[in-house]
Amino acid sequence: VNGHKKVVSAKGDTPLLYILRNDLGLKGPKFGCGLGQCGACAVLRDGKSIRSCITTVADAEGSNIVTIEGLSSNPSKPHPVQEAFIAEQAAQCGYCINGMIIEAASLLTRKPNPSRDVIKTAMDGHLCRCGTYLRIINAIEKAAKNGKRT
Amino acid sequence: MSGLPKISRRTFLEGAGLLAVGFAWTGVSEAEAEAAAVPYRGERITDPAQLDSWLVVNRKGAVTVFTGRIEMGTGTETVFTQFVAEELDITPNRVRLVMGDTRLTPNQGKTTASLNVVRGAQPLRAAAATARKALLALAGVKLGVAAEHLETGDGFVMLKSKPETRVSYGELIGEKSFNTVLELDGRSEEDITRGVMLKPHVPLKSNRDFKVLGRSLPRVDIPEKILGTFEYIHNVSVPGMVHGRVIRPPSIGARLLSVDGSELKKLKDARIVERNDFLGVVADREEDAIEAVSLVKAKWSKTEPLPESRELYGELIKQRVLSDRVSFEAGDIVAGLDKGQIRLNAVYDFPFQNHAMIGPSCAIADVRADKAILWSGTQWPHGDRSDIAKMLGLPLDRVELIWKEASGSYGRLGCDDAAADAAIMSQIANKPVRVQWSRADEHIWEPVSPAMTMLIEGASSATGQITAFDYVQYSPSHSTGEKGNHLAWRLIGGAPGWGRMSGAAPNLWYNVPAKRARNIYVEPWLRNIYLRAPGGIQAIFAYESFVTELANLAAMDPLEFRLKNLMDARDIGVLKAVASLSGWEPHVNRGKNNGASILKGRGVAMARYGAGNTRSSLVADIEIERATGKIRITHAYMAVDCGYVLNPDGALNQVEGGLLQGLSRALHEEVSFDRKIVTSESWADYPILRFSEIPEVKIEFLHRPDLPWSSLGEAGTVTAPAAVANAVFDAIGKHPRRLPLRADHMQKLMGSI
Repeated sequence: VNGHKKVVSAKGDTPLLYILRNDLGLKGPKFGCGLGQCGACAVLRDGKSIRSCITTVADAEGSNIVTIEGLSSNPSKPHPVQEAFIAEQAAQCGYCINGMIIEAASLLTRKPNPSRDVIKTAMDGHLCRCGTYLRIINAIEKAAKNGKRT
Repeated sequence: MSGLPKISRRTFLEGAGLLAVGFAWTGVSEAEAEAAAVPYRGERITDPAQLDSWLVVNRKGAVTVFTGRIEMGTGTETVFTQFVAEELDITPNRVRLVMGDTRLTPNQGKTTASLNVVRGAQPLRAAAATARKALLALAGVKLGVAAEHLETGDGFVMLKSKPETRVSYGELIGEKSFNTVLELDGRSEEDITRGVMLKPHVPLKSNRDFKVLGRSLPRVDIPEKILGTFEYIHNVSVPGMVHGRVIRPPSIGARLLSVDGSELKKLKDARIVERNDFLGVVADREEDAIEAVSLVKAKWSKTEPLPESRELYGELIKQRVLSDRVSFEAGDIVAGLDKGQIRLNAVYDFPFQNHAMIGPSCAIADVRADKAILWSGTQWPHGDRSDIAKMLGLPLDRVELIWKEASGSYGRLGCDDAAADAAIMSQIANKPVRVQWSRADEHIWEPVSPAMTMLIEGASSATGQITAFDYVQYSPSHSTGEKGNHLAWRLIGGAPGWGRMSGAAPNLWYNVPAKRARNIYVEPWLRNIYLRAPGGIQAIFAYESFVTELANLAAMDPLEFRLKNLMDARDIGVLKAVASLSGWEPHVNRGKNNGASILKGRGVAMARYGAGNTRSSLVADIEIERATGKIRITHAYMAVDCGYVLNPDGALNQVEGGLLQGLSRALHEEVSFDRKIVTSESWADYPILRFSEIPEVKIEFLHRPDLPWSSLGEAGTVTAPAAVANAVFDAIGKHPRRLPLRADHMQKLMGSI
């Protein structure tokens, strides 16, 4: 998890989310539905965005999990997607934002230069009650642009 | 944004070291961060009539402000910081807020987004101005000059004639008390609930002098939210805490007959917590608490308290009437109706809707024999504290509530049910308990926004002058879930019930000689609590649909028809602004059954709504797929006049979000139920707007630099249902007078054209 080997003792069918939050103290991923419907709990598993609320810890064993806390490879500098979200002020209550950032980071790894429609499709499984969608799209476009520049 | 904001967090201890308060800040150096950590020795005072209750300046000149209001994701913390920095003449990054902690902050009543900038900020602003005056006096003594020769800037008092002769706020007052008495403007319970106000004995700055307000100060809470380090209520952990889950009845009002917990033996440390009809489980591990819910076998009595859902609106007008009030009345309705050549009677229906927080309710309570401490995301820290103290049978001064931000709720946390659940569970378990509601708990048991049915009879002259507007609404009050009507308190018995009738129709802004609105409050089926623009979004859906329907009967362009009936320059201004923004071309309703597979329409709606009468207008473009009835909103153009704009980017963020939420409520949102209980229990049954559905959006704020500011939380939302419904009317020629505009409803509507 976030580059470190972690050993936990729990029932195998425990959702990964509770292990991350309660055993490993990584509270960036959020509980939203427990059903894989909203995306608030998203983490990267071997680089791909997954829903930690419906992934069991047994299933996750041996894989490389990255949470929002470990997203940036440089501890003193946020990930470019996070920088873009801050620059665009792309949050209101922010509860969904963990999933938005994880999904966006995953998307930009696969497709560094996505169109708005591609962004909308990729993000469609993530819900935001505050209606921050417009800013999130702008932030992802900005992160893509910044990525191209560097 | 240039460079990276530095993120830091300090925790400091108060008094005997028991009470920790966390701060988050951005864009400041470590030294400044250190300076902001004000040490509190002994008790803090929270009397709103004392300046020291509102703010403290430390030796390094950093200011800590104490407010009973809370942040809900709408930017309150940021704009409050601006207000204080402005009146105190200090840079905003030296101001920190402590919010909603009943041990530390004055009681500022209920945080309603619509009143935050109009009312909630007022005492902070007045306190900051009073503190600045006191600092000028202190500097006068120190420098041996009269205060009129001094001025303030950037945290210093200086000689006007020689600015390099200066003394810092920290040197003048650092950690000492101001000992200044303030005068409250109103002390009634209603005044306190709405938010305490101070008499402005010290003059406040005028708009033209603002240096900090009127600028887009970045949101102070956003960096931590983006980095994943922000401490939401869901993240709070207390030593010795166990995990609680609630077990609710299978139907509303059912009594608990028996409980069998024998299966719980499978789990280590899981146990039942039970009192009368309240049932829950606690366990050391969260996943065990979740599993325990499925292992407990409970028998409940059978109840069927709800109406048939397809009969909802018919039943609504047959429910027992609790109150019948006129909210505005002018002229002679009968004469007005007789005068109009065009008459219309219409009924509009607005469904029960969920607040639909992305993060379900969560709270922590540590209840001991003689005291209790609660951690809650409530919007009303002092109100929930008082209610829960009563529920627990503890004196008020033995109960404290520490607010931590929750998931954006738009009114749902006006009463925090989870805090009451946690309090009862902790009292029974004799341990700190964290209660996390499941997704189904939240969707089924949250206090909903009540359904409303609205009857309008009106008339217009042949040339488009509205001559009469007679409006009647039937709905339960929007606040039947508050004042101790917590779910947990109802289940243990003895809840005091509720009293307030809320959700009245807003004043009609059109110049109509005969107009009236009656608000008929009926017996509720479900608990209700405010949801963004309570009563307003419903009434404005009806008003603005009706006005467009009248325009159509008069064979007039709906925008031209509105202009013909407006008098107020700001109403006219906001409507003309959206006409220009959207490239409005005058047209009479175009709806026709022309056989096209995609039908296109454009609708307009406007409102004058909220504290300070914010004006907003919206033009929506839609397409309906004839085969499926699915609506796609392609464009949304909005103009807003909220007077002076306190933080332009914050305001835009609010309006964008409010608009999308309003479109979601128009298109999708409806709580479904059977005779027993709410049946929409997840995002599959209660969809909200998604990324793939968002239109192209253009928003314009009118430039009103000299006007007072007005509320903004609801401006983006209130016109959305009517504008979309009016666009459907334009597309298909038939007005969909009932929300939501779901595909199946649209198919039925189109089937009849």
